[in-house]
Amino acid sequence: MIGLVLVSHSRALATALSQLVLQMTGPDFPVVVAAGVGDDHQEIGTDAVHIAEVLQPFCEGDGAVVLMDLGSAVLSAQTALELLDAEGITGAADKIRLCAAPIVEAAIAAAVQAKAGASLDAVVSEAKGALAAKAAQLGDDAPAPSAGPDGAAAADEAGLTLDLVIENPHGLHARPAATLVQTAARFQADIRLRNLSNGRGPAPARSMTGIGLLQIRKGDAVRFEVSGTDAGTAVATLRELADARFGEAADGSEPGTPAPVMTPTPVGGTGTPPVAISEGIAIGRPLPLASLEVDLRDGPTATPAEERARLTEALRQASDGIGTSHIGSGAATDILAAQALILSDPAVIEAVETRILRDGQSALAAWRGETQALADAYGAMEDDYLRARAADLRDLSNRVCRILAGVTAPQTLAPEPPAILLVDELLPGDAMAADPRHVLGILARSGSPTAHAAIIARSRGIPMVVSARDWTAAAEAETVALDGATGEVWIDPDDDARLLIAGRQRDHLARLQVFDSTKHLPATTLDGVTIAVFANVGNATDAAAATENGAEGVGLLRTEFVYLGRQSVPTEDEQVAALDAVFAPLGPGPLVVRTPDIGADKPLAFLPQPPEHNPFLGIRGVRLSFRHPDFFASNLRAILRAGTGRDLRIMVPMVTSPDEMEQARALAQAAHRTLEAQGIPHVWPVSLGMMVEVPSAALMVEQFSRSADFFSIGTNDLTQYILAAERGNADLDDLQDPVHPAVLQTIAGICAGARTAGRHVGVCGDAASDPLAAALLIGCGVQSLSARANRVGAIKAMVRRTSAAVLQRLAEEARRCDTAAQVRHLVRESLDARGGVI
Amino acid sequence: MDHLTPALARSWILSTARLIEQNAQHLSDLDAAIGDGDHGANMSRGFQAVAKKLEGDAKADDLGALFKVTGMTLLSTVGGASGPLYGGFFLDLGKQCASRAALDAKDLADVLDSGLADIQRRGKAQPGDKTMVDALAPAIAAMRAAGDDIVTATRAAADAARNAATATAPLLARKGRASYLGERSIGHEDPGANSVALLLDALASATGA
Repeated sequence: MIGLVLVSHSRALATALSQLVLQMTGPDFPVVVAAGVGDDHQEIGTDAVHIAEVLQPFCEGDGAVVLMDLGSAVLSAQTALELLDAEGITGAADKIRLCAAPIVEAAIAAAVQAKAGASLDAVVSEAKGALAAKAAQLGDDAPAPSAGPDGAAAADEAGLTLDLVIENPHGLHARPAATLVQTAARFQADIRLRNLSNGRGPAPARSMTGIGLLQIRKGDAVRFEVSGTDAGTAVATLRELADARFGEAADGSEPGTPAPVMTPTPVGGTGTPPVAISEGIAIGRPLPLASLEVDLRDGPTATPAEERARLTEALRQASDGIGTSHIGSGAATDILAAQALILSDPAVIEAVETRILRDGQSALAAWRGETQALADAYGAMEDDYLRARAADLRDLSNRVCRILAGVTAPQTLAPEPPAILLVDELLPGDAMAADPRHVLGILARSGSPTAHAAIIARSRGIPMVVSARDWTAAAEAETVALDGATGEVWIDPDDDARLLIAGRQRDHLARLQVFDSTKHLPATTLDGVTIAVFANVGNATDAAAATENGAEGVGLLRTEFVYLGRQSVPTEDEQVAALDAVFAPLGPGPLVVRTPDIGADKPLAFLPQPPEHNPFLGIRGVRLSFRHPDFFASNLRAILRAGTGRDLRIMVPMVTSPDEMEQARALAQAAHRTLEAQGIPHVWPVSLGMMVEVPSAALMVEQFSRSADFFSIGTNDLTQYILAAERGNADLDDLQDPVHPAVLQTIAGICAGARTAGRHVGVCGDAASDPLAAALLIGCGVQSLSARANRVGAIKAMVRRTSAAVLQRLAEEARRCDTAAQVRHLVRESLDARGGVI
Repeated sequence: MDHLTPALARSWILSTARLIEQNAQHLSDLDAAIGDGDHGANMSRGFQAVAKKLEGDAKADDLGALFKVTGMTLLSTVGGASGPLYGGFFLDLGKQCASRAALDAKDLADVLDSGLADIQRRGKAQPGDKTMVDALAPAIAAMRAAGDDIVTATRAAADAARNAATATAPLLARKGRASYLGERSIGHEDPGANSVALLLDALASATGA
């Protein structure tokens, strides 16, 4: 499909126009913005190098029509084509067409044609004719629109005036003028200004050109004339803006980032800095979630036998409720499935029943007493991973209590008007109930990025920060803002901060939109290296999301969903049916299915394991599979059957030594022979690869290359094992970062070994969803990335804006750093200079 | 002194950055009269970025690399039409100088002529359109007329550019935003011609220092 590239002086203009276009075409049309200048492209102007970067993927694809506003936009677009040509990018001359038609009309007309599959010539021709409809509507001799009344406020509205002296060293030049324009645009009121010192004006305060023509210099007296509904607020805001020198520091330099408000550490809180949990910017009223702690009234206590029957029934309902829950991502449903196990835990049930039968407690009181005590006990544990599970227990406890009290659990948390939720600790159930349209963001007093609720918040796109020190102040504030990427929190932000937040919000949304509009294009670097971008899938919802979000296949299909939450071993047919349901929404791309990674934090009810002191170093993944050979054989047969007619590959988790791969291969061959003997259709032969997450596997790539057809790096576990830092331990988060030099060194080693042996290396861990980390992975030699479905667009956009040669040098430098923090700093410095690569 | 060496060329670029910075407000004032008022701010942003780049990049130690870095940086940082025009100009200089260690006065005039042609090709401007061309063309002519001594030649070029920039005032703008003003553009000097005058002034002071 022919794409559309919008080149404008103003990023806002081009972004807004791309929205108009997408309204016409639907979300999967390749319309891309190349606009603005400066580090984050927020300043007015055009950047030929940036335009070339945006155009490059289209040169290798179906081509694009470029529409420009005027002046330098045209010159820069022409220059961009020359740059591409000079770099030897073929296709620039044939596949990219600069079109002189008026940008708005032409964008709509061209997009509709392109979406219909028209040729480049046809799209250009349609664009050129785009003005005809408007000309016809207005008549050929329609008079040019007359200029509006010269600044006079409407007579029936009381106009306000504000006189002040400009103190900016260079007067109201581009940057402060832009700040003024942005501020003026927030108000309904008509705002005009005059330069009283030279008699120029009035000019509309929303016009850069208008303000420029007033030639406002340092020391000039300026009069704002404001009229309209919110004139009073506008005047107050303008006064504050002028006091703040229109966002410019006294020496005329760019304003620094306003420091986030630092509030005193609350009693009982911790002094640890805020933790960024889930990316996104939110601003709104704070709403404490204490209201969720419903006052559960207990009815009169019946006989112990009746109370015990009520408990049994409530547990059954809770379990069913979890079983039928389909909201959220794969991660979320896995979490619920694991919770369901607790509902059938005989030790818990026995203890609750004892309270009912022996102590005469009601079912509700007994359940609540027992589970809360259990949660408290977990909360006090030394082991951080177990401590984090206390939230799961409280969540589950609430679920059952609500059923016993006859209170319907809120299916959705949807505050009106929308708000920022303040929670003590976010519970998984609340995270799943939160409606992203109404829950703008979440500020929690405690929690860690690896907690289940955090994973769910990320998968649902709700910005979230954990900050004990801001929490108390936030509860008493009128407005709270947070940046889930940096962990910053603002309490009652002032206008400067609001401007900054609004800017980031705009930038964030614009970026999401670019990701969205280009997600189906291939991810090829500027120097021509194509990286395959796949999605991770854990259930049917994920599978549909993968296809929608432009994933070229599935780099990791987790099969645990087939087994978690089940009380008995599923038959082979049941397994095939469950896999079929998840495969159904997938496109024709590669599909890498991982055999069950059970154990550690994902125990199975029907494969009881003896307690392990350190389950992450215990019987998990393929180690568990080998201990249950019949079960493993049925898994392999089910996967082969479900893969009939697909480009399916099998991947084995937690492999530590080469003989395990040989054993797995023998079992896969046995599964094939069994199916063949029975005449059951299945896919064969299949590629058999392995996860690289155990250090021994990373160090023995050469040996493994004899038995594994491909490698996929699980960065989460690899990081935890290389750095000896447990994933759930919030106190070790500096050692949980996959961009740690030691991890990068390991990954580079894996890639080098695999290249020699001719084996493909991909990454399916969380690092593949983080553009900064993903950039380094490519630099280390990784050939494919499998990300969360909703990050595919972001990862592809990153790849397209950079070059593999640059990333290789950057990764080499990163491996020489001392810490993960240094690596992140290095990459930001280096890639930010290239204009928002990450 | 009879050659423009890489060291002198570097000093030319850095000196241009200083002059542009000192005159940014003046350039913007000129532009505000007949355009969008951003020429000084744009040029200043671009040349400051160039200066920063050169200070951190000792590798640009031959003429070709030096001009190329300058051109690429201007392309991506200036923002206005002067981005592609000045950027393309320096990229062209970079191409011309690709394998040359230094330029004598005649070489320099040839190279600048080629750069001028690039500006004209890109901007489609003719002499008399009230643009950069109106300062650059007479400057190169004066440079050729001044003979083989590079100090004299560049000084002659700088003086010619200055006079020519002033002489753009009575012209009617036919290119860029200023052309929207039509007759009202008459009576104001062209900001682009003025920044060219600064560029050549910097060249003269670099070679004459």
